[in-house]
Amino acid sequence: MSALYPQTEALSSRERAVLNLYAISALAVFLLLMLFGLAMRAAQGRWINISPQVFYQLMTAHGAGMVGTVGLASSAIMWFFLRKYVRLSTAMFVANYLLFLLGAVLILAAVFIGGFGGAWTFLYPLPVHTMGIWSINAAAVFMLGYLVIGVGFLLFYLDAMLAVMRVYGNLGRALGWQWLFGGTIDKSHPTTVVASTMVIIVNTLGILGGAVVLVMCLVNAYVPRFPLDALLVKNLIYFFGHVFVNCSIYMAVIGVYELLPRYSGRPWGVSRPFLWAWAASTVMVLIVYPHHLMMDYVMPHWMLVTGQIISYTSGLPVFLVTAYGALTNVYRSGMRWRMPAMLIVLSMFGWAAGIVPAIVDGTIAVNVVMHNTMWVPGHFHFYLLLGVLPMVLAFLYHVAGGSSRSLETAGDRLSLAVYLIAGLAFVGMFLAGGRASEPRRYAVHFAEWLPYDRAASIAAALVIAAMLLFAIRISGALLKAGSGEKGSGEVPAHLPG
Amino acid sequence: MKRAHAGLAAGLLPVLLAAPPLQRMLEASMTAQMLVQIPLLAIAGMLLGKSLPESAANRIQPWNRGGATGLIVVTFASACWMLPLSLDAAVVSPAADLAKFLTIPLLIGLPLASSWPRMSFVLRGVLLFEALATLFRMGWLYLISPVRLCNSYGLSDQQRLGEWLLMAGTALLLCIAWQLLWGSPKAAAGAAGPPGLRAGRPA
Amino acid sequence: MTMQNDAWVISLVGIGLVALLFIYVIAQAGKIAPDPAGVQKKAYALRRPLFWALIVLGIGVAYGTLRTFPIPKQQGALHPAQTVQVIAHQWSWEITPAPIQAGVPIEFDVTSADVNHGFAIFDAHDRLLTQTQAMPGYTNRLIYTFAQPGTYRVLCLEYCGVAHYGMMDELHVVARKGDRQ
Repeated sequence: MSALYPQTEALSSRERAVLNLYAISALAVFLLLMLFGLAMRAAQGRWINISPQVFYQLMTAHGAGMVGTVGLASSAIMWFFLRKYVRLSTAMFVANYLLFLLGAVLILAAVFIGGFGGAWTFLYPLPVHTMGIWSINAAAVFMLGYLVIGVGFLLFYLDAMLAVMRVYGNLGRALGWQWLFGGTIDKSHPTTVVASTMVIIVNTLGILGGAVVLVMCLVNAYVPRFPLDALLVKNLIYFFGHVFVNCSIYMAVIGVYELLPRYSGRPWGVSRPFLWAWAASTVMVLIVYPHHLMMDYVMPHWMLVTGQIISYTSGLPVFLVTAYGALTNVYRSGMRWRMPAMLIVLSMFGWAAGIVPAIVDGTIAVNVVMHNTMWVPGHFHFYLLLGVLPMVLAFLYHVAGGSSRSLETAGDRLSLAVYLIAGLAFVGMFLAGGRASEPRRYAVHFAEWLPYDRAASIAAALVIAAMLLFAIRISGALLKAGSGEKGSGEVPAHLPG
Repeated sequence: MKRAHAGLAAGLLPVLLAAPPLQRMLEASMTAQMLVQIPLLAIAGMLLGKSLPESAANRIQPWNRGGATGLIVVTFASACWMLPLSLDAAVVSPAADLAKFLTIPLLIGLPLASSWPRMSFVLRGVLLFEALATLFRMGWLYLISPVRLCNSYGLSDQQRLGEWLLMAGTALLLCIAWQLLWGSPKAAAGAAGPPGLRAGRPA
Repeated sequence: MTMQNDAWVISLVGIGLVALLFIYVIAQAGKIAPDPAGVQKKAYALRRPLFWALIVLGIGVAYGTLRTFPIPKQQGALHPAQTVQVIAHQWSWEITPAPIQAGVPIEFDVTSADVNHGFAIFDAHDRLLTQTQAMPGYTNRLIYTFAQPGTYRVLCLEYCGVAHYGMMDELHVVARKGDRQ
């Protein structure tokens, strides 16, 4: 037993093997897809020469792959901590992995064998309006890949739903809704259960939207006499896409709630503002998606107003509950600055700071001159690269560090510094490009945009170098722990309990 | 409901539905056939399942572990009866009509009733999820189809069915969401998965 | 100041404030407060006014940016000085009629013949002035008044396939008859 590595989190050898599969696959795919990203930036900067067709294949793989893999890695965090409070099935966790693998193979085959380059958003009717670049079959295989991945997540969520209801009765009680308006809050109610339950509800609905729209697009691909409404499809795709990406953040933040108090030595439990924040987020994440459709002027204008207002209010739980709570937890706590702790604080900064340009762009008047410029990848790379990925890395550093004493070297810390500075420069170049009206998703750039692209390429290369070191260190420690000992309840001698 | 009552109802319901005036009325519109007649036939099959003696149920249990066989039968049978082609055939051909009156109770209602209690929570969840998604997809398809999919029914009837399916999907979704969020804890405890599936970690 | 610069400055200030707060807390993190419960109590007491301040700020900004709605109404007559039809194709623009008058509101009726595109107008310095989506089956009505005569560039701002980046055209904006230039 130790405060950092409680016995309730010990892994059986089978569980450890599955977690290692998740962790090492995710790290490897992150690296590969980051290289695709670097290739795109370098091509835009005219440092390397790739054809537009290949550029858009890389872009499609990068987008679809990153969205899926962040989801996969985050689901491992949710699984790891949620299983302390409720009984999760390892079989379903494995099923999610296997279906993800199958879906990833389908998507990669569609992109790199079938030549599909319809972007991860597969906006109808582009996938079936191929101009001879790819076939209908390639588009169909791509969408089928999404469906398979969706089924995997659905199984994982349904299993978690059952487990949560067995302990807490229903999902409302798991979310702590009985304490929203009064009553004595049970301070031992786990934050992990609140966040997990929110994700279970919201992402099941998101996947339902995806399952409807994907099958409709598949039907239309082979029976074109059923013409789809492009605006309706776009609504559903952004509903599903927005919810899925956000749920990745919400699953990953579970690691922050669980781990930060261990390194600061201060408890961080549920409170009424915390429960309200998660209750509000449950609703807001479902209705905020119209902020992706502000330039569709024919959308009902009340929906676009909703998109702007809810974009603003969605920031409140992040700023005032999660980030503010984390800072309160750290302030004068006698923080033990190990790698996981540093990565967690970085992630809180990346998330809170990254949504600033997002909220600015969620204003219709700003969106008119920023939509689909580099500003957009600027803000989402900010909170994904400097927010969610550090959450994942913090979790993995923590787990891997449990049985390895070599994960706290100067090399690790130097990599973290490089990752932070290069990461900021990388997203900064996107944002600066957006300010300069640089469009996103252009395979070829005007000469005036090249400085941003080139600076971003250098920064991306540095981020990848740091990420490579993280991946090697974590994978090595995880594999060593798996082969060396059974269980991870042991506490390394150098870590005070 | 007592077993004998269930059996009686199971026998009477199809006979009632087959009574010419009622059958003509329910098959006059696509909406009534799809959303009233077919569900009632399925319910007749479920009642039949309830009326079967325990011994009969136990005998088929090894063939229907976890409700898997039943699920497959139900899926295929309902997929067949979702095709506009089959709805059409049932109106014009007496043989197809007979098939409808036999297969819907026996291949949808009955296996559903005998498999549902055996299904794990996850399997039930997948079934409900797929049912919801199918309602939305079919509703959407009927609404956008520029051509009549059934020769026996008009385009406006088809589109009305589409709207009804979307509403039915929404209603089902709201019911499920309500039950999950605020339902009685007992209902959740009753939704038991197969024991021994989960690792024995104390909760 | 352009809208882009406003957005840039506001974002930098916001990110900077968040960063300062983090740096301050990180600098303090090594110390140990004698009364940890007191720290939390103080911080949470501070949160309530902060919450209301952000609410008031949000209402103010929302009111200020939505009072004159940035998007023209899509039904009914808009009474522009000139109406321009825009049809997007993979991968070209069909814009009629040319030329376009400066100094008066121009209505662009934007649609697409195939996939989703984005109709975006850039000035001579390649700065984005305004945009709307070009979607098959729908017509988005955009109103814009060109301040200066000259050549403007139209770029596609919704990914539309392999030649998306090359889908460009020009708008020729001329002074109205009677205007001296």
